[in-house]
Amino acid sequence: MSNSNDIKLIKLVKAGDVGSYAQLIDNYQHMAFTLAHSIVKNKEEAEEVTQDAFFKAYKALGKFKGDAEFSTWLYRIVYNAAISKIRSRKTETTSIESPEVERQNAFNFADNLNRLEQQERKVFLKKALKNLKEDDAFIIILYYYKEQSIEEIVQATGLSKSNVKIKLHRGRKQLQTELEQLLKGELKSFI
Amino acid sequence: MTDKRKHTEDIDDQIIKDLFNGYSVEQAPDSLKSNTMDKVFKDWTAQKVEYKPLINNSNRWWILGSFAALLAISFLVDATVIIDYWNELKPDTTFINMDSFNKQLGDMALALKNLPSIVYFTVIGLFALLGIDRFFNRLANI
Repeated sequence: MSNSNDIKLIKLVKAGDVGSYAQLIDNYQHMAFTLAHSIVKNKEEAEEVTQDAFFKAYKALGKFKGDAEFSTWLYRIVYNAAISKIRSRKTETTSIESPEVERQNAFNFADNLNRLEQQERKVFLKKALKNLKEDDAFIIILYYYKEQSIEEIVQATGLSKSNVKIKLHRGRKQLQTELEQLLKGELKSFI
Repeated sequence: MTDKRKHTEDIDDQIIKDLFNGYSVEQAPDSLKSNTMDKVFKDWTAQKVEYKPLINNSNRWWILGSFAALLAISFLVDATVIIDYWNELKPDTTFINMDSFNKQLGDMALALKNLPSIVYFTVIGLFALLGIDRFFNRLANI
């Protein structure tokens, strides 16, 4: 997924070939969905946020100058849409998948640790990420999974450099705590 | 103390990096793409087709009127009058041969006269098509 390829597709869309936008969605839908989910912590809302972000990106394609990568530009729209979503929540509801219940499930799950390994890592990581505070997970995923630099994360979130560093540090600490809780101290021996 | 803290942070960082090696992004639901494209196409079809007239609306009638007047004058005035007037001005150039101007106009008129009628009908047909297309374009944008 090179930026030049993205720019070619964007030019086609701008020229009236709207169908080419489907290719851009194909390229980024999973990452955008993951990032939205990392903030809103709910699959239905994450889908809604991702759809909304892609549509907003389509409407704003004229403003995309290609200075930054399309992915970074898109992730910023996803970030803003997700943050708006959680701010618009008027009442706090406790979902079935609340962190407390999940933590309890994780403890049970940890008993079967010896039977599961590689797959288990993914599950624990995803659970731990879900328990992170709002945009901390978003930043952690961009930094550790997408291997983006602090500057790129600054572009993708619109936060200041120092704020990103603080959130990254806090997120890392919280992630470790969550993992430790999930694995009941077995994390270090497991890794 | 600071070195120790930095060392611990580096270890934490490495642990998380290792964990992310096996990480895979979540699969977006199939409906995401189709729903988004539905919205995109809906928006695209709802957009007005931009039509930019080559000639400004207010100036169009002046231009058409002037053209019609010039056409009428060209039928009324003998081309030799123009040539005589031109000769009176005595233009300081040898590149324009006004004597052949009249002949050329005559030749042109003859050529137009000899054109098969199908050419005229085709041209009229083309302009009619353009006109109808523009008419429906306008209707679509009402």
